[in-house]
Amino acid sequence: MKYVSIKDKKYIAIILLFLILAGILSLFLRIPDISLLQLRIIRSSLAFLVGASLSLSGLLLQTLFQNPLVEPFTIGIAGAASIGAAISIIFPFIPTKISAFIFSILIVLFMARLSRKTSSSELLLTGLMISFLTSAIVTLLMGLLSPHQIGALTHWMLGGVEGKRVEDLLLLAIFFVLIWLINITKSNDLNALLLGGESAKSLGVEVEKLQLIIYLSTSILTSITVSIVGLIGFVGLLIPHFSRLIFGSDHRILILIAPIIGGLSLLFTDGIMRFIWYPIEFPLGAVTALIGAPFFLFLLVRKRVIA
Amino acid sequence: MKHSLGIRDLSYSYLRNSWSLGPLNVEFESGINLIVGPNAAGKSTILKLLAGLLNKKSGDISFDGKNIEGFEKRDFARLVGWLPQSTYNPPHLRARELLSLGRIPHLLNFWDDLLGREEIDALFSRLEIPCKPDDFVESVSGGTRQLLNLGRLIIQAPLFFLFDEPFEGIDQRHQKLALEYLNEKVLQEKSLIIISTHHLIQPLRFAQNIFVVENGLIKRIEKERGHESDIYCQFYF
Repeated sequence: MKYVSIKDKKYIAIILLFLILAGILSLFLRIPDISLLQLRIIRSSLAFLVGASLSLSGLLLQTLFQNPLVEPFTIGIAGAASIGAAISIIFPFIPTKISAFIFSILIVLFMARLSRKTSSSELLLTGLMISFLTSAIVTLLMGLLSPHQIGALTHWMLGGVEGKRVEDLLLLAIFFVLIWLINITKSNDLNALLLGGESAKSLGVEVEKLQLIIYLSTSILTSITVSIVGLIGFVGLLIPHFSRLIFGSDHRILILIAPIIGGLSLLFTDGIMRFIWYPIEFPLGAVTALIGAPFFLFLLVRKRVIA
Repeated sequence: MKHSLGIRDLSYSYLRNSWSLGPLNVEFESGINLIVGPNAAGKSTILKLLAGLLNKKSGDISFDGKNIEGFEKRDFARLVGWLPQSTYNPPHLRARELLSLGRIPHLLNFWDDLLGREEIDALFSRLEIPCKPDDFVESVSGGTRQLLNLGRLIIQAPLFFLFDEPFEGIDQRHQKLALEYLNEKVLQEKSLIIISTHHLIQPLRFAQNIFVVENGLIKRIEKERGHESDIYCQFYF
């Protein structure tokens, strides 16, 4: 991209290369048995895809809502998906991903409707309340579960990529690639959306259609990732910011690069967390929140200072 | 060829609001057309209707005789450009990137060059925009930001320009530079420019036609040079 000096490019290349190498290395690190390699590969690919999906969702939502603090977790989509997933633990005949998707899209549509009338701080507060509400509902639902089921639910909610099925990985991969490609072709329309809905319309963009694509993309990606790996927050917030800072605001580049950076970062984080306190593993969701929450506060404070 | 923008029996009303606009009958021609009038008179609503952003209640709008409903969206964006009264500017957006967004209707494929460097650099020096093309929009002054948004519409290069209060916060000199540029467009390409504004000193020097909007109605007034203050007094006090 034109805004990055050659010196910066070198750093970025080094960082990316480091992330890739670390990712590959983490496949073989501390592996007790070579037969476990297959599991490792599934786990690492999943980490990459989850990071990529959440970053893409975050980027799309930030552009849609014209708000840099929005991501699947801050506006409650992930929380809604977790209700769906919890319900399917209680009623096993309901497919997890479908019930998670229904709840996520409801929240996306609700927030989209709300965002037309309210300021960005109200939008965030609403998202926060929805998150509280959903976690309360999930806690209540726990009352209906057996101790064993509660263990499973808690483990899932903490967020992690270990021990997942290869079918889940493939499902996420297919949807991610499809949605990624669709949004890549829409990148100029997304650029126009930076100016707001009306201005985008006056630039010839079919805004309603684009909005529908974003609603569907983010709900599908978030509900699938949440129902597979649980709640892994702040990736969708941090990565689009980081990418925009380095590569500028052109979505033709952002859409390509943000999911890659997001995927590599989560892969890297998962790798680190796996051997830092070996053999104890920390839940990935807790770690990303540990890094992400202070960053969110930093953005919030800085935004106040400017405005 | 001169261009024309015709409005026939146009009316509009907002939901849950007793205020209504029209019916309007007016014809705009190539040149700089000024729309003046008190607050809440309906200036912005007219411009939004012309930009195709609101669904009119009744009436017809035609550009060079072609009805507004007959256009394909992208073709319309190449023909008619609109600048809103207040603009949202996202974080991390460079001045150059903001201007380049005007090129979107002209891009055929999504990999076409969005940035059009030379064109944008030329406009920066032409309008003497007081920031660097690589500055962040969020970090420049309010007036400069408005100038950048004005530049965005110029880069869009439509035949019909619709400016809604474009000079808010822009100093006299930069207003003059922008108007000189637009006047050149009128002379070269017979552009049709409609500017709604409360800033009258510079626009009145360049305007060919003046329209007054009041109580949801529009009428054309004769412009007599040397009586600029009269126009101002007549309609505002």
